[in-house]
This record gives sequence, structure tokens and C-alpha cells, in this order.
Amino acid sequence: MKAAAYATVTLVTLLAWWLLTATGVTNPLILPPLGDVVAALRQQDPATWAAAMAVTTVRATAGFAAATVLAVPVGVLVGRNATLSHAYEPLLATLTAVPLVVLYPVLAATLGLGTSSKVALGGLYAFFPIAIATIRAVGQTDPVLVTAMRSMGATHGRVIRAVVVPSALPGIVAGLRIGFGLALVTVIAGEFIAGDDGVGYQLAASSQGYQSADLFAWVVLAVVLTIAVNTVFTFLATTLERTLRR
Amino acid sequence: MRIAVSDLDLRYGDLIAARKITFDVRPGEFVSLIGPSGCGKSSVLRALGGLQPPSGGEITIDGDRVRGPQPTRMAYVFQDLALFPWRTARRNVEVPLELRGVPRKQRRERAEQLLARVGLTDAADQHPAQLSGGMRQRVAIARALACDAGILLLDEPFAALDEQTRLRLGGELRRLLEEEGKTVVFVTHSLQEAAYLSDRIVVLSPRPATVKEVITVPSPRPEVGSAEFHRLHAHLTDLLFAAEPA
Repeated sequence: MKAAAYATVTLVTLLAWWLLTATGVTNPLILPPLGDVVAALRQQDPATWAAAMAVTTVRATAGFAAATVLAVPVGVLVGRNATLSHAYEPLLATLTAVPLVVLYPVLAATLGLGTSSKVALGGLYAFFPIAIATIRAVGQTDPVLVTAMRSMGATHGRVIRAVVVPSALPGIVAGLRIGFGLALVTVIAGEFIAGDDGVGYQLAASSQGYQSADLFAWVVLAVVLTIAVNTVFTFLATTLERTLRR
Repeated sequence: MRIAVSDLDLRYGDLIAARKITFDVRPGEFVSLIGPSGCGKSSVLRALGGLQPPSGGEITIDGDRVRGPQPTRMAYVFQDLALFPWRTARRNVEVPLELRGVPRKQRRERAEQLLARVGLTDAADQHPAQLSGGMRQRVAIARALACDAGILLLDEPFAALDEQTRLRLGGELRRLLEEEGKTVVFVTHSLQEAAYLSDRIVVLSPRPATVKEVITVPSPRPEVGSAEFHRLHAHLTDLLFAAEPA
């Protein structure tokens, strides 16, 4: 049922694209004919797009991993403390709305135009949603479960590991998902702004040369990358939750 | 194990929950704390379990003052059971064993033994949400038994059940705990439950809770429906209704 719905939506979109470009309603510079994009995709060396996708995926994953390692413990610490969470949650929520991508030139100036500055940007973007989701999820821990664990002789650390984290896990995973999405988008944005590799750079290069067919070919590849990464993420999250629910 | 409560005061800020509570529990005895709802009987039990520090007076177990949870001596069954929803019945029962560092295989065996003891062999791999109220109740009892503590503190464990299931489970519980040689403190607001299960009944007044009377139930305990049982029930009713403010 789900697969059928996806297939239908995809087919309708492609059909609309084909109709719009074939009838000449749209400017081919803005929306190139579907056939041209397919041709552009086939002309590309698979090694080129595989390399670009690999570079982007590695950067996004590194930024996301660094953000997770920092944001989850910070979130648990703040979420377990009523005073801290009252103080920091609104602050973090506000910071999330700041377009931190404007900081990219600063990051590039300090960390260089290579991988480090892109990882930093992706990590910065992933940090806030993960921290906020963790704070909220942890704040909703059932106090009775904590008392029960304590009555059975658990230490403070054990209570965190055996009660707080498992009960907050669905909320944390939701935050991780948003964080990963943002890391991927902002790494591509960083590559778009400056640099000489990755999906974002390829998008920028084809758009600056008015090579619409190439540009759309890269957009299609970026979509494929997002879907692939999201699928892997969903699989890992499901496995994690299943392991816990034994 | 002998519990001695002397001149126990419990205060939450300006609210006085209990005043000058004195009673004792002899080894192997089943003692009920009964009183109108909201009278502070659960607070007294929390203090016994070391989950609530006394504001005055003291509680000792075999002469040692209670200063915090003592999982090797006391196991607690909470009013809302406090089962971990992400763990199966068996893994809930394993919690106290995990906290004591029992190896996985022994843990599993012991948990299955205890689940069999409460008649839940087939439900070992179910999650609490999949079990009926009565079955969840049994899981909570099995988990408390896994603590291997001499004393069991039960806070209205049957509150969520209908009267029939309540009496049947109560009878089973009493037999089980007698066989295991446990010392039991049982909080309830049901006169019938108290009269049916206890060796002695501590009757508390409305808040702030004070001890109105400690009733010794004749041995052998009267059967439900007998003249003796009715006399006891009537006596408890008199005490409790006299205690209600008009």
C-alpha cells in the first residue's frame, strides 16, 4: 500500500515534468526537459557522482556523530535538572531558529575550505535539535519508575542508564533524525558556498554554468542520497529500539 | 526481621502527613496499615522503605536505623506497580538481579522460576502493556521477590483491580509470602482486604495520620463470611467512620 502510494506520486511527478517541458510551457533553462536530465545522468561518470556522494555522506555523518556525542549527554544532564532545563530549553530553542549557516564564512576562515569547516557546520546544525529533543524526552521520565529503580538499590548513574535513557529513547531518536537531516542539508550548503568537492560543489558548478540538465541530474542524485541515508537511519533506529524492548 | 517505628513524624513543608506514629512488625508477620484515603499511610510506607526521610522519630530494622533504600532487606511494590514498559515480564523481574550483578544465565533462570511461582510461565516474553491488570500485579510481586529481601512493603497493590480479583489475588499473595517466610507491611484502604489478610492491623486517623488502634486478628484468621470476620469488619468500620470528620 505504502509502496504503491510512493510509486504513484513519483510517476505523477515525472509525468507532470515531462508534460510541462514537452509542451514548451516552461523555460528549459529553469526546468530542463526530462529527457535531457536523463541524458546528463547517463553522461556522468559513475565514479564522479559516487565520489561526490561519498564525500558529502562522510562529512554529514561525522558532523552528526560529533553533535550526538555532545548533545545527548548535555540533554540528559539538563533534562534531569528542573532549574537547568527551565533556563536552557528556551535558549536552545531560540538558537535553533538562528540561521547559523551565515557563520559558514567564519568557520571557513578558521578551519579552512576543506572537510573540517563543513563537518563543523553540519555538527552545529545537528546539535540543537538533538539536545532539545533529549531535554524534553528526559524531562518526561516517569518519576515512579525512578523511585522504583532507586528502591531496588540502583545508583544515580544506573538510574540514568536503566530508566531515563530507555524511556526517553523514542524522543531522542526523533531528535537524531531531524539532526541528521539538518547535518546533510547544511554540509551540502557549505559545499555549495565554497570548496571543490561533494554534492553541493557539483550543484554549484552546474548552476553557475547554466547547465540546467546537469544541475537537475545532481538534484536527482541528492534526492537519491537523502532517501538512501534516511533508509539506513530508519533501519538503525528500529534495530536500536527493538534491542531495548526485549 | 523486626521493624520498629517510634514517634515517627512526617512533614512536607507546612503539611503534616503523620504525627507520632508508633508500631512494630514482628518477623514473619503480615501487618496492614489502614486508614481513609489521603491520610498519609503511603507516606508512612515510603518512610519505612527509606524513600522519605522522617521529620522526627525513627524507624529501625533489627535495630539499624533506616536512612535510605535497603534493597537487601526490603522490597517495595508500588501502587501503580512501576513496571518498566520497555522490558518484557521476565526482564522486569531480572532488574533486581541485574543490580546485584547476577550473571545473565542465572538471572534468566531465577526470573523464570519466580514467574512460574506467581503462575505466569507463559507470559514471560510479553510486555506489561500486553498483560491484564492482575497479571501485571503478579509480575510486580515476582520482581519484589527477586530482591530476596526479608521484608516486603506493599502500597495498595490491588487498588486497580475489581473486588473479586482483589480477594483472590490477596489470598494467593498471602499464601505465597507465608511460604517464602516474608515479613509484610501492606497499605490498603479496603477493610475487607485488611481483615482477610492480616495478622495485625494498624488503624490510622485522617491526616495528619496518628495510630488510632492496633488490632490483633485472632489466630487462625477468620474466614470471609464467618461471624468472627463480621465482628472484625464491624469493629474496623466503627473505628474508621468515627475517624471521618462529619
